[in-house]
This record gives sequence, C-alpha cells and structure tokens, in this order.
Amino acid sequence: MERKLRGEIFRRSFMVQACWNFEKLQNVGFAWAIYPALRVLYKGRELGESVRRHLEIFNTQPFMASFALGVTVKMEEERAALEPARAQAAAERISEIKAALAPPLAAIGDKLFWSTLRPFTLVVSLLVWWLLGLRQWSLPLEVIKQNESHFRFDMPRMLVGLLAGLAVYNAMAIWIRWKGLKYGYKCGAHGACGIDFMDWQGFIGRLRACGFGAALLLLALKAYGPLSLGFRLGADRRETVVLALLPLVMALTFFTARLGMRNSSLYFGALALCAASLFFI
Amino acid sequence: MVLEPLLICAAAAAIELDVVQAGQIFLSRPSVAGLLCGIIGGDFVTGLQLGLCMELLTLDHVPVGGYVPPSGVIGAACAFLLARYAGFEGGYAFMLGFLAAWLFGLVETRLRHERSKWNPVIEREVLENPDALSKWVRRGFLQQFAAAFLFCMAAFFVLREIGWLGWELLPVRLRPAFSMAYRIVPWIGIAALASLLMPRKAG
Repeated sequence: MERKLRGEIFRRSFMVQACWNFEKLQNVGFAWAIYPALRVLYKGRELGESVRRHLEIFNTQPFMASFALGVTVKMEEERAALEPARAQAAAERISEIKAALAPPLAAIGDKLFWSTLRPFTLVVSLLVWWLLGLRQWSLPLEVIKQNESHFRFDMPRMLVGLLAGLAVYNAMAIWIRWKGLKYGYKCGAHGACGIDFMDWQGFIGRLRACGFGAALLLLALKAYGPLSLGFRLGADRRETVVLALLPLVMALTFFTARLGMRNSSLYFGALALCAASLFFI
Repeated sequence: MVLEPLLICAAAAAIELDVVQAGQIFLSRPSVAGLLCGIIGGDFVTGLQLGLCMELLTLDHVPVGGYVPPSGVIGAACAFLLARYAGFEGGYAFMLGFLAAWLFGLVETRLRHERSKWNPVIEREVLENPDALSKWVRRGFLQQFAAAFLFCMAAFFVLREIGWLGWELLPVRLRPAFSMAYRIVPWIGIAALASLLMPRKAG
C-alpha cells in the first residue's frame, strides 16, 4: 500500500463510526474509510458494487478497526487481480474474514481502551494536577473561589493536567490505529491477520497494575488532603455527615464496582443518605 | 447573556461528535467539555469541577456494542449552564446535569434508529455514485451536531424551570443534601477507578 493511500485510510479511520446505526452498526464508516483503496482498484459500476459490498453489517472497537481495514485492503487488491469467475468467491471470503475478525478485535480493544486506558487517563490527569499543586479541586466551590490563588487554580495548571491525560490516551490510540493498518495489510487474511504483533494480555496487565497503584496513591493522597483541611476548617453538622460517610462510600464503591454496580447508583444512594441524615439528625 | 449559553451548547455539541461519529480522540472527556464551557462562560473553576465530577460518575459506563451510555459531555455542559446562568447551587446543578446526560442517551438511541432507515437509500445511491458516501457521512455529523445542540438548549431551559419549581417545593432543611452528595462524588469516582484498574487473573 502506498504511503499516501495508507495516510488517507488512516485519516478516515478516525471516522469509522460515522453514521453508526442499530441495523448495520459501523457499515457506513467502514465503507467510507476503505473507499480511497477501492477507488484505486475499481472503476465505474464495479466501484459502486464494491462500496455496496462493504455496506454490510460490521462492528468492532473503533481503534482496532484499522486491523480489519488493512486486511480488507490487501484482500481487495488480491480480488481485483482475479478473473471475474473467481472474483465472486473472493468477495464472499472478504465478508467472512471481516465478520470473523470483528469480535476478537472488539474483545481486545474494549479491554485495552475502554476498560483500562480510559480510567488510566483520568488517573494520569489527577496525578499531574496533584503534582502541580492543584489538590483541592473537590472542595466546595465557594471555598475554592475564596482561596483561588492559595489552591493554585490557574488555567495553565488545569490545561497541563488535561493535556497529559489526552497525550497518554492518544499516543496509544493513534499508534495502534497506524500499526493496525500496517500489520493488517502486511498479513492479509493469513495467520492472525496482524493482531499478534504485540502481547496484548501482558501489556493490559502491566497498564492495569500501574493504574491500580496510581489510583490507590490518589486515594491515599486525597484522604490525607481534604480530610485534614476539612477538620481544620471546623466541621459543622453537614461536614461531619459527609466526612463520616466517606470511608463507607469508598469501601462500598471499591467492592460494588467489581460486582457491576454503577457509580451513579452509589451517588443517588449517597444523596438519599444525606437527605435522611438532614431529616433525622 | 444569550450568546454565551448558545456558544456553550455549540461547543458541547461539537465535542459530542468525538464520542462516536468522529475522532474518539477523547476530547469528549466531560472534564474537557466542562473546562471549555467554563472558559466560554468565564468561570473555568466551576466548569472543570463539574466536568471532572461528571467524568468520575460516568466513567464506568463503557460504550460496548450497542449500549448507549449517558453523555458526560452534555451532562457537564448542562450542569455548568444551570450553575452559571440559572444560579443553581453546584450540587443541585450537577444532579440535574446528570439527568440531562441520561436523557441524551435516549435521544442518541433514537438517532441511531433513525440512521438505520438511511441504509437502503445509501446502498441504492452508491451504486450509481460511490462518492455519495461522503454526503451521508456529512449528514450524519450534521444530524448529531444539531440534535446535541438543540437538546442542550432545550434541557437548559426546561431544567431551569423544573429545577426552580423543585427547589421551591423541597423542604429547606433537605436542600443541603445535594451539595453533600456532590462532595462525595470524587470519592466514589476515585474508589471506582482503583476498582476498575485492579489487575485481574486472565482467563
């Protein structure tokens, strides 16, 4: 694949979820992403038919879709070189490979990006803010605004924390998109279609271990900071209720999150508890 | 006064595109949306705090398969609008913002059903003119942007009215419950982060 063509497909792969719909899921985005390659291989009515073939149902994790794009481009190139009698069978084979590739790609991508890298990114941002001295972001707004300069709430610090998280996330996401296209194309429909170019399980495990350690550190730092400040400020009745609820909420969240309970359910539970405490205490 | 909420809704709608339709470069983090809304509205501390809390509350909603999670971007934008322009206390605005986030999930589901109806038309058109695919991609972006923008504006106006009515009806001694629960959100979020990232055995 020429570098220019690869660049064009790579650029379009960012929109592989365009027009996502419940009937055929990522079909339009996938066809649109692969269109530059099809335009090189086919002309006229044949081009239209090839685009329509790729409007079939397709769904995977969007970053990992680049593997499927690379494999499909390679297979389309091979198909375009065949005589018409064998082209139909080749088209069916492309469909089969796409359908077979989507679930394992989604399984890896969901685990790496949605379940690991997304929370990891937030941990990175929070840690960078802590290191930059922006530690009291969760205090009541009126307290922050009265002490804005003391708590170091300025725009550059806020942006650096956010950009650090975005940089970590995108470095990985963009690299995987680019490599996926390269290895998918290189491998074609042979072997593992390029998915085996890295040890996913090991990488996800190491990332989770780092993220877990960092999140525990954050919890410890957070427990030390605002709690000591909260007591120093002279806790009133409401403050006492909130402070008393924190260890319970933290322990409950830690265990219920593993059981699949939503953070929002815990929030509304905490809201009900706070209302009850105000009513009865 | 009118221009700023309009700009905030437009910014939120543009960022919302990053969730599914284009990019997924994580600009659609609610904390990014919150900070941007705060910059436009002239109160970036409130924007960032509401956005960050919204992100911590919604981070366990993973967009796997056809699941449509609550929109943290719309939630952060609506919470900021309600705190800044309706004068709601932060914790109360946050709760209403989360309600807006959840409601936009229903709108997003509807949009995805609507786009399913486009498939036969697209398939017919590309046979004659394969370049027509670009037109449908643009149309998808426009539909998503318009829906998010209009929803954000409508949610702001409707929740402002309902919010004031609810606030008036609520017994005075119960009102601080919102700010108390809001203060607990970061703890829920960070404990959930540790739980989500806890290494698991393979297999």
